[in-house]
Order: sequence, then structure tokens, then C-alpha cells
Amino acid sequence: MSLHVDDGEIVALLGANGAGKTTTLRAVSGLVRHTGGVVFAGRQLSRARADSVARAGVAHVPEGRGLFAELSVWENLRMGAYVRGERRTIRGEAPRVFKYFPWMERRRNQQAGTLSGGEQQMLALARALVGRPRLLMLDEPSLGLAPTVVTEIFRIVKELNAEEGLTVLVVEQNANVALDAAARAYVLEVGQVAIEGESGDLRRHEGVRKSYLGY
Amino acid sequence: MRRSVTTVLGLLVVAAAGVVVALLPRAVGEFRLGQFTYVAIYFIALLGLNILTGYNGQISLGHGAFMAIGGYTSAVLILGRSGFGLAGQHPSHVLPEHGVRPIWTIAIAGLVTGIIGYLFGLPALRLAGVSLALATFAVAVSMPQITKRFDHLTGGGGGLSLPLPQAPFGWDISPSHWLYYEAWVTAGILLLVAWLLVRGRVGRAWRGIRDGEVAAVSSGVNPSVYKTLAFGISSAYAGVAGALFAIQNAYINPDTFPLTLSILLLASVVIGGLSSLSGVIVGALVLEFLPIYAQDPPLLHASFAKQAAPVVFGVVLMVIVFLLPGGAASLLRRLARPLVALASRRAG
Amino acid sequence: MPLFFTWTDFAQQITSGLAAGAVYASLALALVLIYQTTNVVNFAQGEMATLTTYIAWTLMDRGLPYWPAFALTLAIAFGGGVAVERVLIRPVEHRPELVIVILTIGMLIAINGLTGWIWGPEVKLFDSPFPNSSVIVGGVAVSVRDIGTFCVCLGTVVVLWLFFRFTTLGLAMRAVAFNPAASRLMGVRVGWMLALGWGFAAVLGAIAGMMAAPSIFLDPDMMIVVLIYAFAAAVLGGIDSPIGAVVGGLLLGVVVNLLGAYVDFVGQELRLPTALAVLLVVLIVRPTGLFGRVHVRRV
Repeated sequence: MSLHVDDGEIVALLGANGAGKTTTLRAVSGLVRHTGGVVFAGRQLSRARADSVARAGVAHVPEGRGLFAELSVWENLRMGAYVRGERRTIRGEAPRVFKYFPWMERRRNQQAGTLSGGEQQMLALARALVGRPRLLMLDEPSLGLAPTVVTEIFRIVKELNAEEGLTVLVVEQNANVALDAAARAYVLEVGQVAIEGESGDLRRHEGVRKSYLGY
Repeated sequence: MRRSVTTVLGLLVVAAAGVVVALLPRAVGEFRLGQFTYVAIYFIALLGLNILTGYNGQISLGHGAFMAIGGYTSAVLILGRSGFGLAGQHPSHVLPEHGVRPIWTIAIAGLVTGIIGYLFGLPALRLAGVSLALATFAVAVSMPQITKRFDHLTGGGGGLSLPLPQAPFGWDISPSHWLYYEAWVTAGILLLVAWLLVRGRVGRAWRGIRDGEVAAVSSGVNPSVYKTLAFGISSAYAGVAGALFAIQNAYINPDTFPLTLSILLLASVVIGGLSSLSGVIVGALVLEFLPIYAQDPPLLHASFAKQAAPVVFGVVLMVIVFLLPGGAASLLRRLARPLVALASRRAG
Repeated sequence: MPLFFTWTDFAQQITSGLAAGAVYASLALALVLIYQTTNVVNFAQGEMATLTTYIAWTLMDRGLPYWPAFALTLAIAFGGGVAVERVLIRPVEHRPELVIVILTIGMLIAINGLTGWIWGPEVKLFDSPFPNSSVIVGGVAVSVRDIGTFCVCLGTVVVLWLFFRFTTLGLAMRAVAFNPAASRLMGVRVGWMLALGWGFAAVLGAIAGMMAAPSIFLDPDMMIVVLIYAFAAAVLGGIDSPIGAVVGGLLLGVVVNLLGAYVDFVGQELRLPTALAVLLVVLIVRPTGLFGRVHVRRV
């Protein structure tokens, strides 16, 4: 299968459980070995280890958020800055992050594991942003969250994309929300790209409507 | 088809080994024979340890202590209170007045050690991996001190001297020959028992627990029963080995089974191959002969200090971990594969 | 029971117990450091400590004064620890726990033999930087050496704590201990963090060895019993809790000393078995130790 994400785009990766969406992300970020190639900003990343991929500017927010539950909110953010040199980076980036998520400043010493689901997702997102990634990959951000929270998170993602030109690849089971935010999308089935195209077109596509949009 | 071919080959190998064991006394001198008796003794102890750690996955760094229990049980029973008195100590009234036949003491030692091992296995259920290793390590370190303390049962620091065993029924063989055969026959019987256990339902339960206790529970296995059973059987084996050791050594004191032995027993089981009966003999041979050859390697004309042995042991163990985690047994299996394939083709 | 119970005696038992406990705490912390990141108990920790103590002894024997030898030994220990992790542990990182434990047991056997081979089995005298005198504190005579041992060991622990709490590297190491996969996604070179952990553990071991050697005398088996106490302390405190290791070590040191002094049955010989019996009881009541995290097994 083959897919691409252009600079400044939001692209969605849709599909049912087990279609291979998460695996694709993990292959890109180097957590999983794969055949084939990964080219990022003109560089070959195929055999790179996960930490090299992160340093190249790919931020992966995994399924389940991958937070350091025992560390505080602030310490999680500091870890997000690690990829670019923690000390200087966090001082510069913190105000920006707090602009999008003001509650984090007030509760910076709270243990990450005690946050609510939505707050954890936001923290994971904020942590990824601190590193000023060139590509942000989100794996199932809506999982386990209430609809209002999901809307809020995608709103922030869209805002980041609009204001900072953040490039995003988002894997989602909730096709509705994903197609709303993304410009283009791919639909995976059994590890292959079954359908691809602009979000608007996919919304009207009969197969997509029946299987993933529910009408 | 393959399975039965492997079994037949295995039986052939065991039979061949049996012939070698039977004929060995004719070929070697007294001292060597003694060494091979120790090989049989270690074989028994390692069988037991392999059951516990290899097949059931519970680490024991304390099997030397179980050997000590078996050794002392046998020794004090052989001497009886009268034998103690000769040595000038004050024996406990728990002991019988006169000595018991050595051959019975071996069985009793196995039973007693097995019960103690089983009882140890009960609280051990609450301990996982690390803690269990610590607990058994602790037992091994403490045993010499405990035996010294309770000298009315054990003869204390001075130790106990045992008479040389006489062959029963007035058979005309020297004590060393008698012991050699006694040890190897016991080893053979215990090997059979282990083999039957391991290939049967018990063995499957043990392996299931080792590989994933939660999964084993969901298939209806009660882990507590099997884990304590493994401890009991494993320590019974060690007890038998310890008893034989004491008799062969004709002497036992608190330092006969030191911490080093417990550690080297575990090392030898790994070298032979965890959860594999075929490698145990390799482990036993290594345990007996490696220290000797490390000090005076036969091909090199050099003699190293006594401390060379543990270095070699340690390095061999590390090399095994890197290159051959299945131990000698996996090497044997690899070598035997073409043979098994050949035999299958012939048979099929 | 000593003939009279005096408060002086009691206080002295406590202080010497704290000093011994500080040594146990250092080695226990070393064990926990490695366990936290790799889920492996390094059975060779004690022998590595013995080896570095012998190196210190050799340096001092060749004329180097105490504190320079001490510092140089710590540097060597650090390098050695890092090297061991990179060369020996890394190739087998992904193997099951039991296999790695066996590897450390192999190291235990080999290093123990090596120290005996190189330096011989005879006991050696090891200098203490602190004079063998007493100081009156609150009416009680306290050994200066005990105070020194306690301060050096606990001082090191505090320095390490500061490192982990306030530096970037320390934060990264903690992150790796909690969630190695997520750390990778943050760009952390997990392998080198593990190596650093081994380096620090080796340093702690070296300190424990050098502080203990003046009293328990330097020979190849010096740290075997200390390792067991350290192991017990770590398990008592919770094998994945650094605080637990320190508290457990100090507690164990004091309790063992008091039991040995005041309970006749225990005397000098049964101190270790008694301490371990106590430990076993604690473990049965609370399997994860005093400060350990309770792991829920989800099916």
C-alpha cells in the first residue's frame, strides 16, 4: 500500500478494526519493522529506529496516549521537549502550549495518570507539539472520549493546522469527525488502500457512507 | 511418526548409556569410579532442579540446602543415637537408638526433604520470580549456620563421620562398587519417574503454569497444587542426592553443601538445558569434571589456580546464554535431527 | 540478653545498625535502579562491588591517597557498569527474564572467581577515611566511622535523587523506567539510558563496598552476604521503589542489629536467617513490599 502526506495537510486514515491503520503509523515511527520505504522530507527513514524518527521531526501520539502516568503534567511536557534539547525548548514552547490548553498551567504538578481521558489526550497532544514536529501522527484520538471532548480536540487540531501549518496524519475509527477535519483521506481494508480521495468526495462515496458513516 | 521415532531413539540412547554405566567399573580405577558416582548423584539433583526451574519455571538458588537436609537426615539415621554418642556429642531423642540401614535412609531422606520442600512451596506460592530467587538464595546461605546451631540434631560444626556402606545380602563387591551401582540404579529409576511425570498431565500442567499462569488457570489447572507439587518432588530428588552424597563422602558437616553448590547446580541445569531431560547428564558431567579440568586442562600444559574453575564456569554459562540458550540439550537435538530424519524415512 | 540494658548500648546498636543499613541501602538502590529499567535483578551487583573495592585497594596499595583513589574507583566503576550493559546485557535484552538472570548469575560466578584469582583468597585490610574513634552525641558514644559511612552512603543517594529530579537526563531515565516505548517516541536513546543506569548502579555498589570493607574485611566473598541483605532490603521496600530500597536498607540494618544484640536465640550466627524470616513474613502479608506498586494482573 502507498500513501503520502503533503506539507500543511491534514490527512485521515480510516478503516475498521484490524485493517492495519495503527500498524501503518507504528511502521512510520519505527516501532514496527516493515518492508517497503518511508520517505520523510526527502530523507529515507525505513530502517531508522524510533528515536531517530522522532528526532527527524515525526511526532507520534500512540493509541492509548503513551503518557508517563507516574510523572506530572509538566514533566510530560518536558519530555516532549527532549527531542530538541529539553531545557531551552520547554521555556520557549510552554507559553504557546498553555495558550491552547490553559488548564495545564494551573495543574502542572498533577500526576498525569490522574487526569481525565480527555485531559490525557490533550496532554499527549500538547507534549507532541512542544517538540515542534514537522509531522504529527495521531492514533485514534477519539477513543474512549465523550463527543464534546472529541469535538474540542479536533477543533484544536484544525486550529493548529490553520495557524501554524502543522501537518497531521490522523488515524480514526470515527470517520465523521475525521473527514470533517481532514482534507484528504485513505480507507484501509485488510492492510490495503481500498479507497482514497478528497474528504468531500469520500463523504459522498456510497461504500464509505454505508460502512463508515452509517447512512 | 516423528514422535515415536524420537522416543525409540531416545530409548536406544538410554539403553546404550545403561550398558556403558554397567560396564564402566571394569574399565576404570577406584578414584574415577568415585567421580562417576558423584556424576550420578548430581544427575539426580539436577533432574529435580530441572523439574522445578525448567519445567515449572520457579527459580531455585537453594537446592544445595535441600541436598543438605537429605544428607543430614540420612547421616543421623545411619548413625543413630549410639553412633552420635561415639563421636562424643549429645544427640537428640528424636533419633532412633541404633542406626538404620543406609539403603532405607536414602528413601527416608528423600521423603523428609520432599515434605519440607512441599511445605516451603506453600508460602513460596506468594512469591514471584525475584522474591522466590531471593528466598531460595537465602535458604542456601542460611543452611550452614542453621546446621551449626542445632547441633543436637546435626552434630554441629564438627560434622558426622559415616561408616563405609556394605553391600547387602552378603554380596561380594567393594563398597565403592556397591555405591556406584546404587547411585546409578537410583538415578535410572528417578529418571524414569521424571520422564513419566514430564510427558504426562502433570508435566503439561507444569509447563502451562511456567508459560503463563493466567492462561493455565483458565484451562482448569490449579496452579497452587502443581507448584507445590513441583517443589516437593524437586526437593525429594535433591534429598536423595544429598543422602547418597553423604554416604559416598563418608562424612558430612555444615560446609559440605555450601552456597557455591546451590549456584553451580542452577548453572549446570542451564548448561545442560532447561526443561530437557536429555541435557541433564551433560550438566552432571560438567558439574563434576569442569572444576577439575579448569584447573589442569588436559591438552594445555599449564596448571591454573583453584580459582580458575569458577571463572570458566561463569564464562561457559554466559556463553551458553548468548549462543545456546537451550543448553547442551538443544545442541544434541540439532545433531540428532539428521539421524531422526533418516530413521523416519526408513520407517515410513 | 546483655547483662544490663542501657540506653547507651541501645543507641549504639541503633547507630551501628544505621551505618550497616546505609551500606545495604546503597546496594539495594543499585539493584532497584537496574530492576526498574530492565526488570532484571543483577545477581552480580555484589561481585561488581567487590571487584571495584579491590581496584581501590590496589590503587591505595600503589600509593594513591584515599580520596583520589575513591574518586578514581567511582569513575572506573561507572565506566565498567556502562560497558557491562552495552557489551553483555544489550545482546540479550529481548530474551526472557530468566535468561538474563542466568547471565547475571554467570557473571557472579565468573567475577567472584576472577577476584580470587587475581588477588588471592587471603583477607586484606582496607583503610577507612574516618578515624576509629568515638564522638559523644547526647551523652552517647557514637563511632565516627559509623557516622561517616552513613553520611557518605546517604549523601550519594541524595545526590542521585537530585540528579533524577532536576536534570534532563534524570528525567529521561525516569521516563524510560516507566514507559520505554513512549520514551522512544520522544527521541530518547533508551539503550544508553539503560547503560547509564548500570553505570550509576555500579557506582553505588563501589561506595557500598568501600564503606563496608574496613569493618567486614576485603576478601572475594565479602559482598555475598551484603548482597543478600541488599536484596532483602530491596524486596522489603518494594523491588521497583527507590525510596523503598533506602528505607528498607536502613530498617533492615537496625532491626538485624537489635535482634542480634537483644534476642538470645538469634545471637550472632542466626542474624541473617532471622532477618530473612522476618522478610518472608512481610512478603507473605504484603507481596509487593512496603512501598511497591501493586500490579493488577488483567486477563
